[in-house]
Amino acid sequence: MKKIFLLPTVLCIAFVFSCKDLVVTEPESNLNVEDFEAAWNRINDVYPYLDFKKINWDSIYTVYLPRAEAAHGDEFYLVLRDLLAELKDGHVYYRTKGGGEVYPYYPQRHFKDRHAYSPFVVRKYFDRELRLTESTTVEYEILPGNIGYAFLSDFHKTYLIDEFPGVLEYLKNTKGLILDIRQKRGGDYKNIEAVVQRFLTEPLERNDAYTMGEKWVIPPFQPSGPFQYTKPVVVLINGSTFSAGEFTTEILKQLPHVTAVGDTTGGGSVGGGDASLYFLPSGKSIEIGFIDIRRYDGLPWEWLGIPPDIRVEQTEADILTGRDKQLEYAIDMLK
Amino acid sequence: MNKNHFYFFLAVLLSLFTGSLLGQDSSNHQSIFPEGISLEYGIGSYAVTDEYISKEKYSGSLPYYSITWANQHSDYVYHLKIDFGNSNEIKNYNVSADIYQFTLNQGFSYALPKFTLFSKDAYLYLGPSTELFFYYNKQNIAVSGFDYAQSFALLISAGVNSQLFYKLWDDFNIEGSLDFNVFSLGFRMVDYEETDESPAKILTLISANNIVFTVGPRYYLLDNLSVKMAYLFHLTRIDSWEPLLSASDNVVFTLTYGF
Repeated sequence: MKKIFLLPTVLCIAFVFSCKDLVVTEPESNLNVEDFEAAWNRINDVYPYLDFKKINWDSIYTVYLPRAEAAHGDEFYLVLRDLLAELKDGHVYYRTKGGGEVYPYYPQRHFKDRHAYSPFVVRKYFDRELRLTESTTVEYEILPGNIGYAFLSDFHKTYLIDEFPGVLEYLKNTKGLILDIRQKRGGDYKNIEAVVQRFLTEPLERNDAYTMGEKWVIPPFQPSGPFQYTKPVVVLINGSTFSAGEFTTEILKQLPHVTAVGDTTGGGSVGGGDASLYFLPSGKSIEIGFIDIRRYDGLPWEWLGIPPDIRVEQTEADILTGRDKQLEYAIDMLK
Repeated sequence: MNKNHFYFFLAVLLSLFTGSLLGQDSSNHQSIFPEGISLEYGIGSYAVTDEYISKEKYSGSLPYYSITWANQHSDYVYHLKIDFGNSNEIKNYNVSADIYQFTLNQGFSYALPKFTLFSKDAYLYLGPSTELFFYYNKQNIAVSGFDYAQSFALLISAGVNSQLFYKLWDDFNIEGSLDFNVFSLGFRMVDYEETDESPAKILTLISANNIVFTVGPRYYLLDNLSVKMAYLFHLTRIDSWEPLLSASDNVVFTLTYGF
């Protein structure tokens, strides 16, 4: 009978011995402090809004270094998240290979307005199904009363360079145009240019931008394309309009035939594109913009946003009743 | 209906349908290979380093459930096994991950000549097997509106299975098994923003291993009803992309009903 118990005992010993730990081992080194130092230094060196936001970055170092030193393994992600959140910048994120882009902070106006817009409600104002571009970036059609409507959802890749000309060609004989940018979407400068240059009748000076304190010197925006859309334009914005959407709005607002309607945008004006991604010693990466882009009044739109020319507040409750008051206001303006 | 009745009816139903569904010949002789249906529950400790997400080691308890059907034919045993494991408590210090593992394995085992070991009979079976192994890791280190950290691997493999039965007494065996893949068609999550690497590759023993080793005693309560307690070691290694290495030590309890 003793033999019956012998083998289970041996098995238990094997179990306790844990063969798995011989195979799967802890990483040889822990780079959490080095990662923290690199992240802190990168922000200290390139982030343009520490003074504007009155952030004492040196004090942040003294607060977070002990946390980085105490963090074990991937607990450091929690430290990194909190560190980056101190910037309160909707462009800033950290990235894991499996995790995509993780944003520790979203603008408060985005939370206010994220449900104050619905494409399903917008579609009720049309008597036909809206058209979609091939990339599904732009949804557009002509409203009753011959008013053009285009919803721009994304400024990434070359979507608008490729597809906006076709959209405008379809809408060129309308008596007015609504450009709807009520979504949080960033994107590339060249797509912004592809849109705004179609509404210019003469060169337009660029708004100021600085890289590490050095002012950009770039020729003005020029009219381009087979025709210029010069009839009245309403740009619809709200707190979810962000980054490239705000950039587009700020430029278009300078034109006499364009009116921005809705609510103040989210407020994210730091730039840098692909070069903003910075790799830490362990291979983790963080996105820290280094270009300070300004409104035409000289202030950054970081935190401040782009205010509308005409404020029309809209809430989720309005959308739930099936009404889009901002769109209705734009339609009334263009009738 | 209590659990025993449920398992009994499940076994009866499977015995009625599985043979004709799978087009297998009926059994024609008794063997030491435990035929019939086996239900397994295992508990053990699991560790993984999935470098697609992190170089850190995550570990914890990963329960294991399995059902196996085995049928003796004239010169081989056919067996089909499904197992599943899931835990949301696989941790690296204060950070956790959800792990899912699923395996569908079928194999043919051919009896080799009986031999004697320490004056007792020992039986060795060897044969080919095919396997589908799926691994999914959802890591709770990245919480955002749209993104979350996840990784997966899939192996569709051809391999080898082997079983050793050592008959101590009439109703008591020591059993061991070793299953491993030889070559596989592998799929792995890739980050298209950083690489143009293909998510599908042909893998060999050099680049991917999926190995299961068991050893433990089986006791026959009745001629057609047996219980087994075994140690199970499972190793998965995939090196062709961002390395994935996982291993687990388990204690597995098995109830086998033969028919």
